Amino acid sequence: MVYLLPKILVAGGALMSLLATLGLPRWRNGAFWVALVLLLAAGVDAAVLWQAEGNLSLLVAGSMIADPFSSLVDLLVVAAGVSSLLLSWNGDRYGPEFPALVAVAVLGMMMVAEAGNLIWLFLGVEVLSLPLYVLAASERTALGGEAGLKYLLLGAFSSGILLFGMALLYGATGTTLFVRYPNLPLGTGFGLYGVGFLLVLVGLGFKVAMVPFHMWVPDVYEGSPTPVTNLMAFGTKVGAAAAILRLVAYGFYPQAQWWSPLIGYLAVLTMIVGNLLALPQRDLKRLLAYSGIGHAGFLLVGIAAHNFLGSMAAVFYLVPYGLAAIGAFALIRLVEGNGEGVQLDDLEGLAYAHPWAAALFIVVMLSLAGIPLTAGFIGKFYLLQAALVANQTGLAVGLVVGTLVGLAAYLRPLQRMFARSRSERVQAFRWSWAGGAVLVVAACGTLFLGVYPSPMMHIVDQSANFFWLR
Amino acid sequence: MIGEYQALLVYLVVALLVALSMSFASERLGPRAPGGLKRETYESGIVPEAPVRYFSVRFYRVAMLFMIFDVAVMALYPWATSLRDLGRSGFWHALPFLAVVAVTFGYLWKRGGFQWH
Amino acid sequence: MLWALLLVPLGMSGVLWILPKAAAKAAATIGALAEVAVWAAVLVRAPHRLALVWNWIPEWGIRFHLGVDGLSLFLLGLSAVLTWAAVFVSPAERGRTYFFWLLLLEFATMGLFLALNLFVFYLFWEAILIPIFFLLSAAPRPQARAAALKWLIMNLVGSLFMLVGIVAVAVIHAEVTGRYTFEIAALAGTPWPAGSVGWLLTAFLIAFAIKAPLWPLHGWMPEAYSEAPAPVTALLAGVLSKAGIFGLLRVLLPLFGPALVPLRMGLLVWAAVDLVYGALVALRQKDTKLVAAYASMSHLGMIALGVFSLTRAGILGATFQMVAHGLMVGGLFILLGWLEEATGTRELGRLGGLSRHLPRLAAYFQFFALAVLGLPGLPGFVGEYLIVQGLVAGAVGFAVVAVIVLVVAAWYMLRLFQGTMQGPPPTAPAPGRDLGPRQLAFVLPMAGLILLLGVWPASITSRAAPTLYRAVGLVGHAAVGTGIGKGGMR
Repeated sequence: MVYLLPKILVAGGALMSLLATLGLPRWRNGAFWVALVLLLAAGVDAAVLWQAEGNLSLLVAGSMIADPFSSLVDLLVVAAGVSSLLLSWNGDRYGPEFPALVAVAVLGMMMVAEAGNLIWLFLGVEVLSLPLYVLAASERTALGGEAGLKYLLLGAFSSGILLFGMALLYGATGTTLFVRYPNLPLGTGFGLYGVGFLLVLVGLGFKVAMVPFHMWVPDVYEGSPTPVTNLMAFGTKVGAAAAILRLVAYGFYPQAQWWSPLIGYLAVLTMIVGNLLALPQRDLKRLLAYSGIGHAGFLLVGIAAHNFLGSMAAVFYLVPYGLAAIGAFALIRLVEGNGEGVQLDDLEGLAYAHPWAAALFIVVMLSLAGIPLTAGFIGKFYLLQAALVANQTGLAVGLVVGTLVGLAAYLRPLQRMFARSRSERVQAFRWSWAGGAVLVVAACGTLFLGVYPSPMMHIVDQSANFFWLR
Repeated sequence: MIGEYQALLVYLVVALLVALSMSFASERLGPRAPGGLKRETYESGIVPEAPVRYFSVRFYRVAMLFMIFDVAVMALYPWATSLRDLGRSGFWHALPFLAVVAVTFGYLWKRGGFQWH
Repeated sequence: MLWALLLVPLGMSGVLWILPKAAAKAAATIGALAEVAVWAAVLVRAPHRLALVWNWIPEWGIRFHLGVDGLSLFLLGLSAVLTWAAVFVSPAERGRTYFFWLLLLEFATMGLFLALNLFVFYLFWEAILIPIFFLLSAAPRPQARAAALKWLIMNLVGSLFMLVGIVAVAVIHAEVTGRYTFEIAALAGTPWPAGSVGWLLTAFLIAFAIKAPLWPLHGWMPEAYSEAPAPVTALLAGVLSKAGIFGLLRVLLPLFGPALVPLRMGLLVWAAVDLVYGALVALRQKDTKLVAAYASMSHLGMIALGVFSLTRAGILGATFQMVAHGLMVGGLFILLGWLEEATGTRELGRLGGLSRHLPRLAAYFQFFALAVLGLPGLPGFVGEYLIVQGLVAGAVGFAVVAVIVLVVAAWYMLRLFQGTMQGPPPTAPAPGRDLGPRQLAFVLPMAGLILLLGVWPASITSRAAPTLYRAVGLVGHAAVGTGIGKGGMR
């Protein structure tokens, strides 16, 4: 029961926040504060649980796994939820239910990460997706409607594929508890369960934005309100990557000889395509969308490397990516003000008008690009080691090429900030405490991790071990 | 492994063939008389009185809300019938579920979800 | 002590943002001067071994290991002095951000020259790219942005493959010896498996060659050099180009020394091609800054010849020439910047006969031009002499090429000088003011420093030699390097 407390807190946050929307009209931000406080409480509890002795147990016969990995992912998705809430500050236009829906989506991400059972995994995917469909369209603009509909249709499609794959897996193995799969006599070849596994991978690949299942990402990211995009880019990716990691790197590790190259190729493809398509973008959110695709590829490198170092590297990489993403979205939120979307041209002159905002933005973008002394570099270095220790030079070279292409993409917005003219958006730029706090925390965290990564590496070291399940 | 499912495969192929041949046959063999009455909306043989309008989205909303609470309440039936065996702990364990349903119900009510307009 | 070398520029770059905007240049100048002072203190204490070790990321065997030795000591000084010069001659109107990036650049170059751990080395190697990228991006002309991207992308191609090389080196070393480490000293002399040494070597070599730049990897150079403001070009040509050669000496030789020996001829040919190519292109340029740029490229070919000769004299000459060339070419670019400021153009065709209007500028210009072309008595000569000596010992043909190019060098430098300062009067608008006291305050110490190096080269060589010989000793055929007798240099 105690292991479920973070989830209960988040679920309670969603319900109380719903109730609070009905409260006194004078207390307009009630729903916001209720959800924020309960999410933060869930985060604190997850952190306490992470350290707790004996935090290794199976609940409901292994359907839910309580271990440091679950707790760490809980922490990360709570961070995503909290940052989204903060970015929605003063956002009456997103509707009163916004905080409640965010809390429900966070709950879904937590469920996905702790799942040891295909059914629980599927439930989690749905619980995280449904609120996001609504949130994507929560601002009633044409682009928002397009985003919501596109996300809904493709999301439903991917859920169908996921479910079909799960059915095949059940047919092949006789159990939906995928934590048992390594102990079953499945052999190391490719059988019916292989087909099921591929379909599940496709379904989760949609969520994590893996090429070639990435088509929905740019439109949805562009059309959704910025706080929602933030939640999708960070939270959904963390949840789905955690699920893939647990399912693939643990559930199917005896069959690694055929899936490891497959995921390796997909990873290289994802890194290069995502970053390449980021190059010509003019809209900052679309650019970040493609960057999110590219970074999904980086995460997959750790999984494809198929060793303990690779799992750790993938888990570690979630943190720099998440910090950089929320930092970048915070800047978008600050620049867009009451408007929607930020073009690259809108950044012109930011470096002179608001040097601090520009400096913080530079830090997070350099981290996305993987420049030393930022967290992103440590993450890429981690992945590179994993790939080379696994003796997969191709993977390492793909990682490097992806980084290279991405770098050019991430530096273009930065160049714009140093242009001499000032755009209207920059002139209307106004700090808000919430957006500023997110940006500062993201940039400082990025720098801290880049300069002194040891504590985080220790945490990852303790968390990314699934083999106690055997 | 595939052997066990051979029959299923045959069944699939046969079903596909039947379906395809039927639609192909009706496409090819059936008489065609486009236009005229066929372009009218079908209202059970009665001549339509006004130009047709799609259902209001409100119908879908009501249907959806009904579905949600129907399913939620359905989950209570097995609980209710075996409450005596479940004892005190069974009673308490269902309460959070009821609370969730109640909160959403209250929310919906206050937000005017049950009003037609 | 070594901390201070890093913390002074870094801290000062932060302080800039607290101070009022108008004080930015003054603060940056003070910071750069303080850095020179710290370096002087290091120089005084250098006979004692200075090192700094912090167990940074123990999980990966990465230590924040800094140290000063004969190779890096004077490059650190070069970086400190040239940064001071760049800050000092930049007009205050360039703004706070500009000075901020200059100081950050100093931080990065200092870190690079101090690094004794491959991870730390790479860290600062990439950190260098960022300040230059933003300095170029903020330059007025729109072409500067393209130049900035080109600089960044070309350099990153090299450095990212070097990153793969670095990790691979550590992983392979761990497979061979069981110890996972990034310490250069520990990695040196590892028996690399025959299959991997080729591409490891290439990964490092390309990165260093792009940064230098050596032909044919110099694509970024003309645009970056001509678009950057003069002080930044001075830093690019004076300090950053040395980073590539420094990498050869610091990383490549210790790690892959024995593997380089069979490749020696090919490498020498490569450097010679760069030497000749740069000189010939410099002869044909119509833009004053590009003449100096290609001249600098040609000189780097000369320095690379010295390194690839794998002889004691050659490598010692290369080390000396790095420092000397940095000072001379840095000063030359700054003078060219003033020339452009005074006349408003860089086209050789529109300049001429300026020595009558700008006698002081002409005089110092001549001094720097002569120094660059290697006039005896000035340090360029010493370095080139040592390099040629190293070549004579093992590869006489290349010595001949080098000497011939020295003649070409004299030709293009004099062409530059005569084209601007002598001959018919200019078609460009009337020249502005000659050097004032503020400019002289920069030129005089620089010229003095260069003269000092010219007449007392042992100040560098005597200290640099021991470290370098240790590096060359690993090459395994030091017998070739008999160029310098005992005490011959003193």
